[in-house]
Order: sequence, then structure tokens, then C-alpha cells
Amino acid sequence: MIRIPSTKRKAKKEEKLNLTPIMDAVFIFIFFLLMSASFLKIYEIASDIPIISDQEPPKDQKNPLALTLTAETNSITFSRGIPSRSFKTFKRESNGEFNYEEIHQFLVDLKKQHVDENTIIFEPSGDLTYEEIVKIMDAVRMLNKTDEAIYKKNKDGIDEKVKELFSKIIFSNLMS
Amino acid sequence: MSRARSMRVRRGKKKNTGFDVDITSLLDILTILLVFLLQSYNSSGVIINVPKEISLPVSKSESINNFGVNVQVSKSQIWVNDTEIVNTNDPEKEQRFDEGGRRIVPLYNELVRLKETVKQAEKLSPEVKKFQGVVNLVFDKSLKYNYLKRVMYTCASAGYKEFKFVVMSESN
Repeated sequence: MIRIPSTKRKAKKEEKLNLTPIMDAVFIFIFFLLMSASFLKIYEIASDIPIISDQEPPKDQKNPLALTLTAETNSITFSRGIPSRSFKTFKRESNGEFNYEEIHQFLVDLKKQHVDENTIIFEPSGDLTYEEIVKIMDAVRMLNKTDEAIYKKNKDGIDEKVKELFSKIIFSNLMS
Repeated sequence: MSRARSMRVRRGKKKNTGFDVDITSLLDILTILLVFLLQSYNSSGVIINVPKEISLPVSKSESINNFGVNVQVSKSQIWVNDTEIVNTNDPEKEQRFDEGGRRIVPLYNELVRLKETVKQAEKLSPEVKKFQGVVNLVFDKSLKYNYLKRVMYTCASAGYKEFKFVVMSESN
């Protein structure tokens, strides 16, 4: 007796879906999107507004540094003390830029003498661009990895590495 | 009898045959995606939009951004939290000054309004985060300090005491 071939068996035979080409297409598409996307890393530089106080200054600090940076169009001048007196000036160089490395090194040397000081009063001139102001703030605020290590005693008398230069920047001429 | 059993077994076997999908290439994609996302991960959770008219200066700073009111300033426009407040090319949003040209009036009004909104929310619910007075300043790098000073003065007079200058990382 000859049996008729089963039609059921044929109908149930399932084809395996080949997803490889579509995966390849998606892969290329995602790669293209990621390459064209711009992931900007943005950070911040903090600054507080100056507070005007009519109170007497504290008398426990013998010789306050009161470091002031005055940035003019062609020069950067550092002043110290109360009343303020200038003690170092950096001129703009022939390429039109300030020598930020030199300014930074000068501040590192100053920090070694005043390890507890963190504040700097900043007086930029009106015609300086924001880009130049940020460059000056970078030179003033942070210690680079290549800088000589500076240590100070913490409250337990243990040496502690100083991580920042003059990180507390106060714009003094906002109200003028 | 044995033939009937064999048919049952075969039928059972067919039912168990699952749909087999090759996910190897999908996992490749996800791995690459994960690496890209981890690289661009920002733990602060703060989203600051930089309008295309603004070009941020590059800085060595690595301080993570804080939550605050975002003030974005280009050569001709000012936005507060992405809403345009001043546009020198639009007569309806022109720049007006007071206090001897030191304060930008539309910016001041908007900042005060936002501050009042937060303070009212503070009164209604103790769980609302208190007004911190933080302002994220997104300035174009070519702007002069004369103009920045006006923006900063306006923010200070509106009660925002902490300025956070938004800058771009050197690694970009």
C-alpha cells in the first residue's frame, strides 16, 4: 500500500529567520550616529559675588596676603596686602598672548609661602574676552600634575598635599 | 502499538523546537554602544544646553556642574533655561538697561520670577529643594568682560550669589 506523503509535515516546517543582514545594517547605522554625535564634556569654574561688610576685619591674622590680580589689556599685575601694593607685573608677549605658564609658576612659588591662602581678588579690564579670562583663571586656580608638590599641616599635625592654588576667585569690580 | 507511540514522541519533539535567533551581532552592537555611553557618562545629572550661537572656552577645570538656573549669553541673544529673553535683532525682545546701564531689565525680571517660583514652592512643600542662588553662566568665548559684568551684576542683584562659569573640557 502506498501512503500519500504527509502534507502536515511540510506545513509545519519553519524557516529560520536570518537576522544577520539586518544586524549588520543596524550596526553600521549606530556606528554612523555615534560618530556624528558630539558628546561635549562640560565643567564649571565657581566664583562667588563679593560681599560688602561694615564689620571690623579679624585681628588674629597677622599679615593677610590679600592677593589681587588686575588684568589690563596689555599687562597682568599682582598686588598684595592692605592697603594693596603691586609687586609683580607680566606683560603681554609679542604673539599677543600672556605667558600663562610663567604666571602659573609665579603663583606656585607664592603658594609655597602662603599655603593656607585660597582666595584671589580678580579685577579684569572691560575689553578682555571671556576666553582670556578663563585662561587666566585656569593659571590661577589649579595645581598641575607636573607642578612641585606642596604640603601643609592639617589640624592633626599631619602633612597634607595641597591640591589647589588660589581656587576661590572673587570678581571685585562687578558693582563698578 | 509501537508505531503509535513513535508518532506521539515525534509530535512532542516538534512542539519543543523553539525559534532560534542568533544574537551574537546584537551583543556586538550593545557592547560598542555601552563603551560609548560610559565614555560620555556624566555623574552630575545636570543637563546644560549650549545653543549653536555660543562657542564655549576651553578650560582645564574638572569640577562637575551643579543644578541651578542656566543663563546662556551669545553676541545678540540671552536665554534663561533655554527660553529666549533678549534678542537684539527682535524689537519685541530688545535689551533694556537700568541702574546706569549696569542691569539688564528683561534678564533681571526673569531671574526674579524664577526665584519667586522656587520660594513659593518651598512654602507649599518642605520637601522642595531650597533656593540655592546658583546660576550656570554659559557665555560665548568672544564676549567682552564689559558685557559679562552686566550679566553678572544682573544675576547678583536678582539674588543669585554663586556663579558657575560653564566651560568645555580640553579633552573634547
